[in-house]
Amino acid sequence: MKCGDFPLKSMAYIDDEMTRGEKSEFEKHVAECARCAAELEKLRRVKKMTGRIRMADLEDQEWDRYWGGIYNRVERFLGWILLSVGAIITISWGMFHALRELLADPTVPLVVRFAIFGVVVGLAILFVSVARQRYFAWKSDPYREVKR
Amino acid sequence: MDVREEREYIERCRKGDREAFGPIVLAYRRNAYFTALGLVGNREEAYDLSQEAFVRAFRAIGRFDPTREFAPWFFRILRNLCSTALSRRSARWVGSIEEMREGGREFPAGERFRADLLAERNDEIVRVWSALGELDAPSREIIVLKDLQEHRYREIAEILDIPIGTVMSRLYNARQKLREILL
Repeated sequence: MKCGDFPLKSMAYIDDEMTRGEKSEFEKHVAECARCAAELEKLRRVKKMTGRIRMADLEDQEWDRYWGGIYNRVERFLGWILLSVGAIITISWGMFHALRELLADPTVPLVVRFAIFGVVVGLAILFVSVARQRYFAWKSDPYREVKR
Repeated sequence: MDVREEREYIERCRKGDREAFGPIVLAYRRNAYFTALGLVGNREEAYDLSQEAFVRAFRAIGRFDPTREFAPWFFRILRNLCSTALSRRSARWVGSIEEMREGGREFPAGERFRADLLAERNDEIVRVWSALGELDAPSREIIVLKDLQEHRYREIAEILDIPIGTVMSRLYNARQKLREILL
């Protein structure tokens, strides 16, 4: 073993992730190299210090509420999905029929029909434009594969 | 809960049985909460994030490969949630620097990694806990997973989705940073 191998091997040694053979090879090097031995001692002290941290537990009542909170969130999520899908279908259906009746009504002035047509086409253009912009931004995002 | 029992519960969850998720939550809730607490350093946030991780795990359980271990998969979800929460938090505070300069609010570090989150509070442990809060998020997460939650390298590699060699080098760098602060 060389001093250059020390960083990774010292971690495996103090975390007990070495085979017996690797361990004796590492110990042999440390016994011969004062610099690595001193470094190992400091790293061991750090590990000993962090290993003493014990976080305070929650109150029993908080643990009792824990599962209930999760169960409610799971249930509410299903509720939100159903509500959203139902609302989108209902609103789309209502708007489609309202527009059809309005455009078929001969008493509606031509200028209002053009205005309605403008609103519908404008909304469609805006929707396509935003969707396209989002798609290209996503495609050129260098961090899109990074798990956040 | 042994591995066979856990697989049975997971199989029931995959069929949509919400009640079967209860024993799994019971088995992992403490580790989940303490891991989140070590990562974000705030009690309320850790409680909420650990619960949310279980909710996301249940929703995604259909995509979980039942021949693999549940714990690394679950802790990866939890870790990603905590990372997102930390990124959002730093983005929020970058946006309000002017506000802080005007003396209207405290820096968030004062609200995190407080000594009252510890079970035992002697001077040295409080100093180490506060040093943990000073570390960058990747260094802190590797110390939390290894030294506080005592995961093996193989599990950490799976949770963080990195090779074991990278686990060791990150751990070395994180311990060097702690050494500079503490020794």
